[in-house]
Amino acid sequence: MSVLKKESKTLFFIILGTVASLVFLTFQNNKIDSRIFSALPDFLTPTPTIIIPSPIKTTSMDSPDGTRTFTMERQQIKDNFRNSFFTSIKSEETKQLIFRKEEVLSQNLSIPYNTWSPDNIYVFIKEATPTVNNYYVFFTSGDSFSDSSQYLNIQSLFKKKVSDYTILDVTGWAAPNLLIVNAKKNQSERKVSFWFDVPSQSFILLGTYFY
Amino acid sequence: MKRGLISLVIVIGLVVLIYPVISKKSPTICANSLSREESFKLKVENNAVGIFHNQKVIVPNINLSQAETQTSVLGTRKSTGEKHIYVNLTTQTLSAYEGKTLFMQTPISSGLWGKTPKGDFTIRTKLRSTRMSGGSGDDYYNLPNIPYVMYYGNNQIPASAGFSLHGTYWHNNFGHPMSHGCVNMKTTDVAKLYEWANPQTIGNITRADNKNPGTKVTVFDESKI
Repeated sequence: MSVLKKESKTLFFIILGTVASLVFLTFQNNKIDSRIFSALPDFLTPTPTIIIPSPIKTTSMDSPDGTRTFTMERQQIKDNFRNSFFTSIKSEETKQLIFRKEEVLSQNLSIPYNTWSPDNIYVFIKEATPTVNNYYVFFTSGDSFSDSSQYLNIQSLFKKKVSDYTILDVTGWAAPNLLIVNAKKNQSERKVSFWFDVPSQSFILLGTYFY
Repeated sequence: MKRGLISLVIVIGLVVLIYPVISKKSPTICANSLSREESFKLKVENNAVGIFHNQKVIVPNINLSQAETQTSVLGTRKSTGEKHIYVNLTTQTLSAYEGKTLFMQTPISSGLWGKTPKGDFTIRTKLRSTRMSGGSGDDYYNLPNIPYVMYYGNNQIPASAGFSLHGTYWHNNFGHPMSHGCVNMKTTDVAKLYEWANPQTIGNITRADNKNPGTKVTVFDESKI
């Protein structure tokens, strides 16, 4: 009887130990250990970053004969705006990248209404800045100019080649090679027009003001 | 001797009086002052060379068979009101309305070297293509294959004076005066206007008449309204 009692006691302790061990292990597995992470500063907490690309805004201008299109695609990437310019022939599927530029402000670069040269060889774009407007001329084929430059900056060429005048606006094309540059004489109200001859990169002062 | 001096003075006096009359240039009164007669005829001159500002201009070819397919048939369109074209010389824009509905608004180029007359006009003749020439010296121009020409006129200024709305391939400076008196338009814009405006297009030459009257064109200066 005492042997049976002893064995029952032993079995009870074995079962108790097993249950206690199971409870302890279960508790250990399921408990949230807050001691380590609660002590960590917030900035080390990994937070998932989901980058959703902003939509591309497109503006375009057809060539005067309607056969080609000049397109600007503007996309916000973080704090910057990426502007990409393409030319395309309507009868073909392909498009030619002409120029790409990232800028901080969203509305700096634009395609003027008269961007296409009458023979579809050149296009020009306008860049508005708080101090001055820049105008860039490109080959629509994407080719470079003779000095290997991707574009001609009319404003900087004008400053180099014409003294005493400030550009007011570049309005459009008087002929296939000739851009109309309206300017003002410095320290005067006198307005004049120039032709910018693209192949020779020269400015021709005109008697007629193209207002 | 005395008689000789008197004769000399008389001759010089006559020359001084007559010279200004003889040398006076005839004013350029319209966009095609040299070719007023020929420009009222349909003319397609493919592979020709044009001249503008004494510079050679490549002339786009015109395919008349393509134009014929766009010809509309009288009475097939639904009209929602009277058609009216307004040319604003101050803003250099053209607006075309059908009733109160805006059909088109686009930059144009009016007269720089010759004035574009103001007033109320009616389209008299539509030509798919013609040649225009005029000006003199540095200002001389001779341009074949001018597309989508719509001559307009009124009682004071007949359509034969040559003022018209038409396409432009030699410059791209719309929104600024750039013509010899006509209303220059981007070719893609004027092609749509040509099809829209009355008289409804019948072939490559269309003349307005009682059965097929022309659309009204009002040319005005905003500052003088």
